[in-house]
Amino acid sequence: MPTNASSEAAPAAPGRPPRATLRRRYAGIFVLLVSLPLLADGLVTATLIYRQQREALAALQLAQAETSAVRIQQFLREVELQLAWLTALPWSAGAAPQRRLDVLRTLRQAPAITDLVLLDGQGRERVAESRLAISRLDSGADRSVSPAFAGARAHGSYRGDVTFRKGSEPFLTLAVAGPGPDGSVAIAEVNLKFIWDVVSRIRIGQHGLAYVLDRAGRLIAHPDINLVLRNSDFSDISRAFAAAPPGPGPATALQLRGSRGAEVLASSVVLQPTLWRVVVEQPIDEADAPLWAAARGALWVAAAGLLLALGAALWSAWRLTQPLRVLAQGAQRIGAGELSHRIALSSGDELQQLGERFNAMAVELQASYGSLERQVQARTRELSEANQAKSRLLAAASHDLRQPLHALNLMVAQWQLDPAAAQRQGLAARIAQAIDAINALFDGLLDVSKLDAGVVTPQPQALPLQQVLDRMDLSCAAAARAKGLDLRIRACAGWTHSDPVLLERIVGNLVGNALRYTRQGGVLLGCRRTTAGWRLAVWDTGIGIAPDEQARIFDEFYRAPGGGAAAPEGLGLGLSIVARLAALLGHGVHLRSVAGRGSCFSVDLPAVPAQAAPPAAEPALGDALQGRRVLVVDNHEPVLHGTVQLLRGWGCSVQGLPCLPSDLHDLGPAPDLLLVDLHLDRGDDGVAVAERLRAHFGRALPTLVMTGDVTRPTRERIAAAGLPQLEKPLSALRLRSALTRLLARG
Amino acid sequence: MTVTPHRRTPTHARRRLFLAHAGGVVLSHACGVVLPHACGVVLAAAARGAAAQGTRKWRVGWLGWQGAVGGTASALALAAFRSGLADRGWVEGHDLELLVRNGDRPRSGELAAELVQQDVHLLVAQGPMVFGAKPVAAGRPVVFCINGDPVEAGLVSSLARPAGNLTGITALSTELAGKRVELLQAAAPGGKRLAAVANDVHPGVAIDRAATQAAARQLGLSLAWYGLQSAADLEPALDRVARDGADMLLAIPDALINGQARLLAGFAAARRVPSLSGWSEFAEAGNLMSYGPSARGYFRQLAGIADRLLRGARPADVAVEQARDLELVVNLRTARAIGLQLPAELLLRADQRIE
Repeated sequence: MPTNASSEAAPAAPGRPPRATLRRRYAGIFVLLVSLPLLADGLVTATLIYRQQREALAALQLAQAETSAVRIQQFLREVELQLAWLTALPWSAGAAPQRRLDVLRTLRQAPAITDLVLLDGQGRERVAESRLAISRLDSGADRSVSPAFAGARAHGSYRGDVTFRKGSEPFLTLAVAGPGPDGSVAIAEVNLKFIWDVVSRIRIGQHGLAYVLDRAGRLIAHPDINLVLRNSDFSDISRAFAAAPPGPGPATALQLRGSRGAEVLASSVVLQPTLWRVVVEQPIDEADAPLWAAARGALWVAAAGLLLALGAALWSAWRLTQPLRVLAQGAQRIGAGELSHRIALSSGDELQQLGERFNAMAVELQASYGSLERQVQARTRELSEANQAKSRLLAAASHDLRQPLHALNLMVAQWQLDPAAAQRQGLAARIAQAIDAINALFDGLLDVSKLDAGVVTPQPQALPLQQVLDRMDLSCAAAARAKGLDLRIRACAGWTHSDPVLLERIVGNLVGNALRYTRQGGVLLGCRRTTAGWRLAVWDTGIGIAPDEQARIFDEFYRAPGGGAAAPEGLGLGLSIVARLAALLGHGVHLRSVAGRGSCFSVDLPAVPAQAAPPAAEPALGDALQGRRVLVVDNHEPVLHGTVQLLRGWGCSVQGLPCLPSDLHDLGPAPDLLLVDLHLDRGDDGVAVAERLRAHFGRALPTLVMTGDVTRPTRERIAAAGLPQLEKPLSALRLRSALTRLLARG
Repeated sequence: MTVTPHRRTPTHARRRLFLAHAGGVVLSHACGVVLPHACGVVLAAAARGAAAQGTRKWRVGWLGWQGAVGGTASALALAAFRSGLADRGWVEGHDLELLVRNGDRPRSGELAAELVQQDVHLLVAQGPMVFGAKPVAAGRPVVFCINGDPVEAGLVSSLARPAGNLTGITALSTELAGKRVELLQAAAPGGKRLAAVANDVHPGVAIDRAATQAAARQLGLSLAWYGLQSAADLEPALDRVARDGADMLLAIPDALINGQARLLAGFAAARRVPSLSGWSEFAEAGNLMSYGPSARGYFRQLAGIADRLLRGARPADVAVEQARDLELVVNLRTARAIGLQLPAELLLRADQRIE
């Protein structure tokens, strides 16, 4: 039965899907928590490394450019040095031949110089030597207007623009002037192909190189001489560098299309005074190679870290959810009914506590189920016993009813058959007997149901014990004589406090039982004084009650199995009525018995001081009814007829009606007594009828309600109306005494 | 009572976890550094292996000029060319194959065609051989090394941008014509008669002649021009020179003349006449002087051009180079033998003196 409760929340599968999501969630969160910082760190590191790398590269390239510039300057300065040496002395007449030798020597020493011209202080050509052209000596040609002469004179040295001979070879004009206003000037044509030696020796990384652009952006020196001879124009590179802001911060390398067409990172330095630009460039792939290497490394680390994180996440999530799994399984099993299952967790944390609480809960459940089961079993047993008792009752009742009814059948038939008076008299007595038996039956049933319903209210008063004893004598002596038993009653002068009617019933039942179950010998009834009060005891020499039966005989419908041939009479309710009434009055009941020897039933009664006068005896059954007017209302015709006839027989003037007439004035004068049935036709209620009549006649008519309805609500309704009631069937005697009492009360 | 045992992680398991983590970090670092390098090494080896299987072998065809007498010039040139290529990273037999055909001008076309049939990627033609190679090259790059001006010879449109499939190197013989005459005059003081011996078949010889004539006029010398059609013509030409008389002998440098250096040296020594040509081997052969580009440097320059073309440059993008280093070689032995006292400026100018 607990299975339904547990499966309300969970799906058809035994709870597995939720557990997996928890694990996945933990794993996911873990992975996220690890991988996000890792990725972020990787990205940040990569950015920083990139920036640092570029800065370092720019600085390096700048240094390299400066080194290259220095070397190129050196190259040019060396030539200028040679020229300066030539012009150290001023020109003197006739110095030409000697000077020519000097020039030749210079040409030997400076292979870069192709043409060398010496001008005197006035700018006239004195010595002209060349590697290609025919030499001239002392030609005297006026070269004073040449920019080389003028520039050298003005600034001491002169560097002209680069020209390309035959459109292919770059040449530079250098001029140096001697000291003084009259100093000679040496002009040299330098073949810039010789700078290739300088530039080609500069190594930057694996594929980096340095080259020189002139002021206009034309390439004048490059490790690849062919580019120079082709008159490559790199003015865009020159412009890019010119446009780049110098800035005080760290140097930045420009990213541009390099001299060989590939994407490069380049830095440059400007040579003074020729304003040549020495450019150092390195292919971007090579420049960034360390960066990519670092990035790859970082990526590997990140990937490995991620995998590790995933593994650790899955593992730790699994470990985390393991106790939860155990708990879930345990709860499921407990829920499925295995209340003896105990969850064993020893993780030492809240989960273990939870497991212990589960176990405690399981223990509680077990206990409560156990007790519930026991209770249920007890109730079931009671119910089944009650059922059995009821079945017994029905069986007994039907059996006991059948007997007298059968006898009645026979007797009525006999009556019809033979109307002889003497026989009729005998028959009438026997019919009365049979009816008595049936009445006694119903009385017994009624008493038990009334007691069960709790409608019986004891009216305790002080009464002398002797009164009870006398009444017993009166009612039971005849029966004892009929059975041949000896009924002895000891007198007692004591007084007690109890309800006389109920006490009479108790004692009467006890005595009746004693008489019934005694075959020979006798019954003794007496009182004895005890410390608590009086003990009224009924001794008999009957069949006795076996010890194991002694508890059960007070049960309803229980009749002790009689050892003799005679079947016991009655329903077995007597002792249960005794027990109930005694309990109601608060008197204890005791039993002592020896099987085969006899029994002793005793009732404990309280003792009270003796009263002065005995209570008034009941009024004798005189002719209180003679001449009274009675109104009977009953819808059952035979009952109505019988009641009317009986009352008329007792001397009353009776009016019988099945129901009230519409006009109550038809009833005539007010009756002295009113007898109504509760359940009347057309939903009429006896109580309502009584009230209507009372209202009509203007006084509280003595009313007796007679009904066959013995249910508690009915009884309570009638009691609430303040009307006495009698249950059908009842004997004529009782009816008569009840009516007499009513009239006596007024 | 059913019990499902569940223990907390014991210490040794936690230690295992830590070690695993540490191991993982180390492994990842190793992976990050070692693995890419290992991959790179493996890939490079594979590439080299693929290359080693001879997927790309460049074939260069060498058309050498072989004069009637020996092939020293050609052989020297070829040797210098080979060493120039080797310096630039070409391994002959591994990624380079050199097919050599030596011949003379008339056979140049046939030899060139033969080389083209051999599926050469590049043709290198020495001297006049380029003229036979040019029509049969069929789009293949042709590298020339000539004495004269290639623009005048019709090989290229300009020195800076050849704009065709021919490029190469020039020995500046036209520019040097005047200088050579001047040097001869310095060696032979007072001499007025200049005899010039030249290969008349050599393209551009007319320009050489004009330049020499102009120089002679400028220096006040008389020029006698002796043109040759072939090597066999040299002896009769020299006889004529001897008959006409000369103070200086200028041998216009070209492959034919280079091949006849010894002969000329013998003649000059006999006549006690200073002789000068363009190539250093001229002086080494016994002549007095030579003024021109150094052969070794010259052919290494040629190798540089060939290397550029082999590495994928288009001949139209490769500028024609001019010989850069000029050297004056003076044979002092010959001077002594002739009984010449060389002036200081000549000696000063000499880059190389042969004792």
